[in-house]
Amino acid sequence: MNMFEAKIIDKKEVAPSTFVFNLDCKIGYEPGQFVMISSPSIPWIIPKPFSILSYDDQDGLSILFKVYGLWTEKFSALSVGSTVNLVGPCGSGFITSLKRYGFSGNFSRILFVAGGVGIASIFSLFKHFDGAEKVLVFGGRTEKDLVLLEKISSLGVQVLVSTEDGSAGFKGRVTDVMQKLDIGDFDVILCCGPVPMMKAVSDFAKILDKPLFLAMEERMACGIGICFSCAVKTKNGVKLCCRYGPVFSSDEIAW
Amino acid sequence: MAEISGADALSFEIKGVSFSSPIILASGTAGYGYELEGILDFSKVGAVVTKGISPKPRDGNPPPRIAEFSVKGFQIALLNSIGLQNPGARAFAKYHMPKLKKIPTKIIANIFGEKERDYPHVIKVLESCENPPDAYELNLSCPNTEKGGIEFGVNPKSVQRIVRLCRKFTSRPILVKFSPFSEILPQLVKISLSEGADAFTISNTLPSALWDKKQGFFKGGMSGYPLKPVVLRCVIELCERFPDIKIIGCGGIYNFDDAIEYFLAGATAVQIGTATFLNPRTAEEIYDSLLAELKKSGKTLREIIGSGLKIRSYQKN
Ligand SMILES: Cc1cc2nc3c(=O)[nH]c(=O)nc-3n(C[C@H](O)[C@H](O)[C@H](O)COP(=O)(O)OP(=O)(O)OC[C@H]3O[C@@H](n4cnc5c(N)ncnc54)[C@H](O)[C@@H]3O)c2cc1C
Ligand SMILES: Cc1cc2nc3c(=O)[nH]c(=O)nc-3n(C[C@H](O)[C@H](O)[C@H](O)COP(=O)(O)O)c2cc1C
Ligand code: FES
Repeated sequence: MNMFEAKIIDKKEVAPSTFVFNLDCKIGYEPGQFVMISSPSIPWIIPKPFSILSYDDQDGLSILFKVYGLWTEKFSALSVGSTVNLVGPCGSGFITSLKRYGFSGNFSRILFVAGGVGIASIFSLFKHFDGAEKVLVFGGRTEKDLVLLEKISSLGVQVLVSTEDGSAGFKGRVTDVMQKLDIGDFDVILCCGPVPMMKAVSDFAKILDKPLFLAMEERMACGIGICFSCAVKTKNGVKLCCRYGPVFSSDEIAW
Repeated sequence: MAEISGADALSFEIKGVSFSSPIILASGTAGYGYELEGILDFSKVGAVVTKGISPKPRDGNPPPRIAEFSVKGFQIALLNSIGLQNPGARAFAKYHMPKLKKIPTKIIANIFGEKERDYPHVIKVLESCENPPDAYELNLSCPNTEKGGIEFGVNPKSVQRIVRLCRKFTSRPILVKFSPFSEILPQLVKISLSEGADAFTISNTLPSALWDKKQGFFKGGMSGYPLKPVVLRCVIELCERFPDIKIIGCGGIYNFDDAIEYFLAGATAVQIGTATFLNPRTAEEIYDSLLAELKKSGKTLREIIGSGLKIRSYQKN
């Protein structure tokens, strides 16, 4: 984990109120980890957490975010060339978490489940599990929540889409789509999205006795384990989402 | 006497324990300290005050544990309701203390309780462990569950008993930390001094509430910018009444200018709290600025401490 400055080198509005920012910096990370971001031009006293969407030497660090409230609104208005402050990479990503529960990570079929901008924290898993067969169930309220679809397909991922209003793919929720799949064929489920969605996926995985790993979200003030604001209740006691997590085994969470 | 210069000019003592820097990390905002290793230069930090420790483990409050206070698009304060999550004194002594002791700075164990006897209990446990802390800070802004939930720190009798009991179990410095209630502080400080307290951390967060349309009221302790004028007032009141006591100012310190105001008010040292969240190196940067400023002005920190009190206030009350 380190602290550094980065310039915004590219900015795209990939859907209404949804942005991808590219930040000029060097960082090593594992999928599921995140960065804490602050900006000298945003008058805020805590930094904000965002998953690392991807990183490479050319495009730098990318994040995908949606405007939810005041901070993200101000952040979305920053222009290319602005400098931001970063702390990261933070937390334990998917690979560390899988290892923690004894999974080597040698999977042949993986089911990914994402809700809206939750795709950010699992996006780089597609490259990581290059050789495996990958299916993504991607849900949103409307078609506009389903971003980066082309990129995802180009990575050899079979994408199944659901929207609550039926504007794209199956009309319903991710779990409705999951019901149509032969889940038994998958070695593991990796998931990120709104907490109620993750809870529903967790109930589903439990019935079918499939290992499920989730990138959880909790309000954070520091991202580095010093404020204790990001508590997640687990069967092994209260854990910090920003250090032990954000990726947890669904089995461990005391839902 | 040789002139005190350079970094030495920034050291201070409490009860014979020397702290190399007057910039300290506040309780609950620096974890157990070692989380910041590799980010922060601890040689510039006088001490780390640990997250609060109680006799038994506590899970803390369910989420959400923080709420953000913004005014006209400026976020100025944080409300927290962590609920004093901690592993309990024994686990702290066993798992955290050995790691903490490796950090090149002093360790101040922050203690809290639900009952008066919880405070000496924790000190007893920590004193008997292999790596005891360098000093203790008693967080008295906690509800006394045996007395209808009234904060220990507003009841002079409780304060007296707690400090007296704690004093029996340790010869190390005892810092007493209060909430920023300026009217009653002089009385509480006087009592604590008579029972052997060595210094005071002024202050803890300010009890507050925020309204959220979806979730209702969030009750918590407020930290951040709005705390500074409130706490400064408390520090001034105390330093004017008790010119010789050691006050550690804490509340809304974000930069060198904020810190200097506390020194001008008479604080011996300052604690950095919420500011560490936005910039984990805040304490280090304030130390560097302070050192540079002293070099530039040719003054010592001792000359600055309390010097603001000599300038006539333009309004006395
Ligand atoms: C580990 C982690 C990774 C995240 N990754 C992404 C991402 O890749 N893309 C993305 O769009 N969003 C992500 N988020 C959520 C993002 O941090 C919030 O949307 C953002 O903080 C909202 O701030 P705001 O002031 O604009 O909105 P607010 O009005 O403050 O809140 C809007 C929503 O964001 C949540 N939120 C508010 N403050 C915080 C906080 N301090 N920490 C965490 N959540 C908060 C609230 O619960 C609420 O649901 C992530 C959160 C976490 C914890
Ligand atoms: C998240 C959080 C947790 C805290 N936990 C403790 C604690 O356990 N014990 C304590 O004495 N003070 C605790 N405090 C209070 C701080 O140590 C400090 O007194 C207060 O935040 C004011 O300083 P600031 O405005 O610089 O943050 C906590 C503050 C915050 C923000
Ligand atoms: S966000 Fe501060 S401890 Fe996790």
